[in-house]
Amino acid sequence: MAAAAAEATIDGGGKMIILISADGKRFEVTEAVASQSQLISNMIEDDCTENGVRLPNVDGDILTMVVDYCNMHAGDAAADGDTTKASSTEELKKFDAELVQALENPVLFKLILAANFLNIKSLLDMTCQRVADMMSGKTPEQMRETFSIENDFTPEEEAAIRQENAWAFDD
Amino acid sequence: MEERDWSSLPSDVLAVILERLRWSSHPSFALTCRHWRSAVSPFYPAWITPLLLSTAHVGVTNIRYYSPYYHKNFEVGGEDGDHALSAARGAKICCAAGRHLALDSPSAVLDVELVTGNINTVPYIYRGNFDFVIYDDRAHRIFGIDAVLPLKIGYANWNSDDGVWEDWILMELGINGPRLIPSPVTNPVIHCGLIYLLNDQGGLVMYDLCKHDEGFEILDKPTSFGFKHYNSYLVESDQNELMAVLLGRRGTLNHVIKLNEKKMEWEKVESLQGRTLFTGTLTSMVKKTKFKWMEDRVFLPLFYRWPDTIHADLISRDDELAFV
Repeated sequence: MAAAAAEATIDGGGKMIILISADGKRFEVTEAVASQSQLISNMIEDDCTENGVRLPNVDGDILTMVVDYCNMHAGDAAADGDTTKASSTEELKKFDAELVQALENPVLFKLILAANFLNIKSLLDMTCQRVADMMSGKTPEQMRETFSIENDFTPEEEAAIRQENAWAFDD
Repeated sequence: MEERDWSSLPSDVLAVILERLRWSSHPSFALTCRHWRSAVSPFYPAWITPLLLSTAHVGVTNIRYYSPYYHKNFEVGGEDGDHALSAARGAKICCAAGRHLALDSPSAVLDVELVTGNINTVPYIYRGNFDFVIYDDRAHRIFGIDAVLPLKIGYANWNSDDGVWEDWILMELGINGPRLIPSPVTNPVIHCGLIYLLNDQGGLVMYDLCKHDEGFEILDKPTSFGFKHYNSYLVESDQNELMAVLLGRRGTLNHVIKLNEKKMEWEKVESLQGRTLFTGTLTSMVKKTKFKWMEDRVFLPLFYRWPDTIHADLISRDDELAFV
């Protein structure tokens, strides 16, 4: 009885799967960690993770960060009861804040795409929050500069948008 | 892997970012590039000018705001009944302060938090309805005024520790209390620690917030506006003056006057000095806006010629409210 129960509890977290990045790097993670990605969780359900999961959209260095993040957060996803494994909330907050603050723009960009592709909501929320914070209070010119975006509006279009939102652009 | 740039972010990601971006930055976001613009949905900022709460008695579950800036009405809540306000059916709208809305229902005063839709009940009062309900500056205290003669006032405090309104502190009932019939179209105004009520002729009655037991006192002066009018509205300006707005029969503006507190007489205000007057509803305001075209003007919600009404939700992002 006891053995069966113990087996049942590790079953979710115990089984390993392999994630393979675009540049061929392999990451071995537990199913519990990997299934924070809705994409992979669905694949696990469909039983198609046997030969490793290829992620052609995600570079090895980005996948390293994603796996780190998921390892740290594996506790709170399955938080009920198992507090020994779960990192404390404080620690997690600190980890998240440091992770997201330290990101260079291009890395942040790739991490957002990876979080979106893998469908990891908490990571997507966190990285998008960072972007929103970077944008807050900026003029369009400053936003373009921050994110190296080219202005593809005609002057007429630009004037029309300014007109629509006259309250935001002086008076 | 092919290099992609920020302007190519998938639309669903842009939507997640916009959900986290304060409203005032949305226009800049839209002006960045075409693709980003396509992700921005239209909204109406609610904070750029004061909004006038239209207190028509029809459909109290629909709160209607008039935005002078857009010259449009915004109706919050609706027939679908899932909005918290549907619980307040039959209540009378008394006033709004910031994100709070006070309603007077037959059984209690309701304090509605507009953004969350939470309704906090101010406990039952035995005397029935109040004629006026107003908040103090920060909506931490609520005043109820019973204008059935003699005038009576009670107040209740917000207990922020427990998140509830405490019991009403009412006045002793005295038959010899002050007898003045306040104008029903304008809310009482808090001015320099005193609550003022206005009657139709221009007389004032006053209550000292620090001397609750003394209740209302009718002022000897002023006795009259000295100007012709049909409706009058009391307001405290942004420069701490007690003002009144006198309107003609069809909502035309007759005069703006202010109280000369030395002589205790109403005096004509010659110029708003660049400020804007919002009036015609229970609560009036005199304020400076950031828009030049609004300077020195008076805005009234148009009861006779209804402007467009937009059904909207009031959504808060990073402390800014907008109609969406």
